[in-house]
Amino acid sequence: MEHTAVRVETEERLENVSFGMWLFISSEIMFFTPFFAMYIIMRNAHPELSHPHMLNVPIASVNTFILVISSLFMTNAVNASKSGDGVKTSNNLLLTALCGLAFLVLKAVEYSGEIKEDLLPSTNIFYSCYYTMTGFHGLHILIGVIVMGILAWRARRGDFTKTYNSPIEVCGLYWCLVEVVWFFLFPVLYLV
Amino acid sequence: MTEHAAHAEEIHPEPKDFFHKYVWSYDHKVISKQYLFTAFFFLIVGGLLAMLIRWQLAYPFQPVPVLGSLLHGHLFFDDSGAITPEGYLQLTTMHGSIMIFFVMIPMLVAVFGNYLIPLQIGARDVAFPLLNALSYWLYLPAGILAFSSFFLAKGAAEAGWTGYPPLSDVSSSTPGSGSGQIFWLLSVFLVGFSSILGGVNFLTTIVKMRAPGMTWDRLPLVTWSQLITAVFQALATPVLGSAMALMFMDKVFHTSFFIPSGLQNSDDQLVGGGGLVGNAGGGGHPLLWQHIFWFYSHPAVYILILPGMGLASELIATFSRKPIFAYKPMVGSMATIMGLGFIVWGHHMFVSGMSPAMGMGFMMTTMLIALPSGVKVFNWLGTLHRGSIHLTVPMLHGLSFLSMFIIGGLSGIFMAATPVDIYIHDTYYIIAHFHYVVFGGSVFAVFGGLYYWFPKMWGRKMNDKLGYLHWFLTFVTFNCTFFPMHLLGEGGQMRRLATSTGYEYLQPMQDINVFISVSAFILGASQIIFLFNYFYSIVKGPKAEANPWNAITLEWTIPSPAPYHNFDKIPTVYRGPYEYSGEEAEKVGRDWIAQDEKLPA
Ligand code: HEM
Ligand SMILES: [Cu+2]
Repeated sequence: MEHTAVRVETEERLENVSFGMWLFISSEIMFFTPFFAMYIIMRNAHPELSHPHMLNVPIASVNTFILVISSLFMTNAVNASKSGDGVKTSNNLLLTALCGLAFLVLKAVEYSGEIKEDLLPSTNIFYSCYYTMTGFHGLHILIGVIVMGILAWRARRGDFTKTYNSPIEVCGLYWCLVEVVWFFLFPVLYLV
Repeated sequence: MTEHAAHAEEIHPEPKDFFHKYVWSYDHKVISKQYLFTAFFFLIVGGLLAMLIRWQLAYPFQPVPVLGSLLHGHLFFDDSGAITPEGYLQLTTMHGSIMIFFVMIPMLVAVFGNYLIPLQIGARDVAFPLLNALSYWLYLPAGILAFSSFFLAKGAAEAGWTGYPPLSDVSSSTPGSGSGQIFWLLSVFLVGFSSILGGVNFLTTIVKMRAPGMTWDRLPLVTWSQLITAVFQALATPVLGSAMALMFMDKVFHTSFFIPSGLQNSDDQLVGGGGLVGNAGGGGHPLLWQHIFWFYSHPAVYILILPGMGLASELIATFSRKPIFAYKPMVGSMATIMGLGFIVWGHHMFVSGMSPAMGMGFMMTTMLIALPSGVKVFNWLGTLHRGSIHLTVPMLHGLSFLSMFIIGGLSGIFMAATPVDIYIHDTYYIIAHFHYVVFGGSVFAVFGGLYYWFPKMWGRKMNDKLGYLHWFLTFVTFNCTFFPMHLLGEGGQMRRLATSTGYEYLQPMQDINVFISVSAFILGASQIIFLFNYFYSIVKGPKAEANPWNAITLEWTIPSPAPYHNFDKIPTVYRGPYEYSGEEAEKVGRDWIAQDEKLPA
């Protein structure tokens, strides 16, 4: 992107960026919808395969909590970037990324517990759904963590100013999406 | 800061070095051309595959001239240079996939959308130039992936462009369902992702970046069609992504989303996800794939036609020297097609097993689509009516689009009737139908568009004589190739069947197959004329003026070829895009007046 030396962002440009991001979020929702649809169909066709609380609810609850906390940091980061405070933006982004990382580590622990009990994606259609849905969600978290890492580095370098901070805002929207998907996954897979 | 300056700020400065100018370029015009050349390459590949398909159907299991003797024992050929049955399935699968995902969607959307949207709305570039470059650089690796799958040990995918399980899903079912299918899944996923990014980009551009005065009722129909297509791209393509993702899980992680319980292979062994023998997982639904796939792929056929409708509207209005008849219904009908397009996917599944009530519903919604399509056809005819028709090369293509679309649309309505479709489903009738809409419709529109905007893209003109010759040969041989397929279909010849002579009841129709193939070879060869004309004219064509067709939309107000920043000053728009032969035009003493032209006081 570094063609120009000074970046000034017009009001218009900012609007475009968040409009585009909302569109992308709609696409993401359309990407996850078939997973949920499929899950509902499978649950109805094979009710015997699953019952509430058969997955690791404690770990998933902690993960839910972690994501809630992370959204606070993310909000701080977006606000800090709007007031042009690069260091604060960077710190909060890093904290958010750390939450994301913790989420992934716990998820890995959860998976390995299941794999030890020989509960694999191929075990039955319930586990197929479980691994696929949480797996693609986890992939989104991973992408978020990487992006936040890069943005934190750029914020520290002083790339973002009061007049140019749309990447942080967009990243915030993305993180919001990733959280909301989890808030659906958690009850649907773990609790009911 | 004046408004002009504000616009100038956000545009990327012109790069000086080769790499940023032609390879990693942010300029929508360069990206459009990158797409164009890549799509040309895949057009040639897909075309050659089609030639091989036609060889097999005319002369089953006989050595293929030239290619067969060069490549015998490799790719689709056996040691004698004839096409093998598995090879034949690779040919049909990859022909369809390449033509749809790597030729037509990129041509219609990425080439014309990229080039025309910013120029027609009076902007300096699309909303997200970086994302735009990224779209292309996702499309290219996707294409390379698809192309390289031919060279895998067991060959490319064989399960058709629709990739129906269990054939595609059980890796041991056929050679191509091994790594070939996985390559197919990845490449379609990637090209779909590129398409989503393009849709997001174009939607934002059109909604947010129109020049002052470019109100919704002054937007050229090309741009309108791109806007509506972009909605499909942003909202339907992700569903294709999840279909690919689920099948990928089946094949690589041995889940069984699309494999039913108790599926057995020919040795009576249970088969599970990924074709794992003895894996009793099962529990999936092959039909689920069809629902998800068609939820995307029916809208995809509208991605394949709407931009063509836009291009044709432009050609027909300009060369009739008349305003588009009923502009608002034209827009409304495209929007209606989009809305209905999301609820008709079941018409591909009438014989897959569906409750009659649902079949009835899908039949009704499908037939409804004929209404907005009919509205468009009548409006084009209304535009032509008493127009001053100039039969230029682009116009001939516009008219071909119109007439071929009518034939394809009508056969569509036949198939929409469930009882009829039960008889003709998966026969050559279907092949005839969609080639009439995609080739007869969209390809002609694309050719017309390439001829029409050539002066703007390259600053030169194409040769007219070669243009007429190419159009004539293409139009005639296209009809000789695809019209008789209706008859084959009614006679019961199945699609994707390598032996057109293997069944006694098909043998009397073999002459038709030979006739089709000969026409198809001429059709294929005629395209060399086009390619030669196109590339020769880029270098040697006579210089073109800014507005060679006396057209009205904004792209014709700037020099040819379009300069780097498009507009020196962002234009202000005063009127609609099709004000031919109107009062205002008369006031300036012409039969046209540009959209941003101020009337003399
Ligand atoms: C008047 C509008 C149309 C109607 C009523 C219609 C109806 C249908 C129906 C019922 C089928 C399924 C036939 C079967 O498999 O048994 C079909 C297939 C198909 N249509 Fe259309 N269609 C229309 C327009 C279009 C357009 C505009 C395009 C593309 C530009 C298109 C492309 C296709 C393709 C590619 C298939 C075959 C898919 C496959 O099985 O491989 N159709 N159409
Ligand atoms: Cu359809």
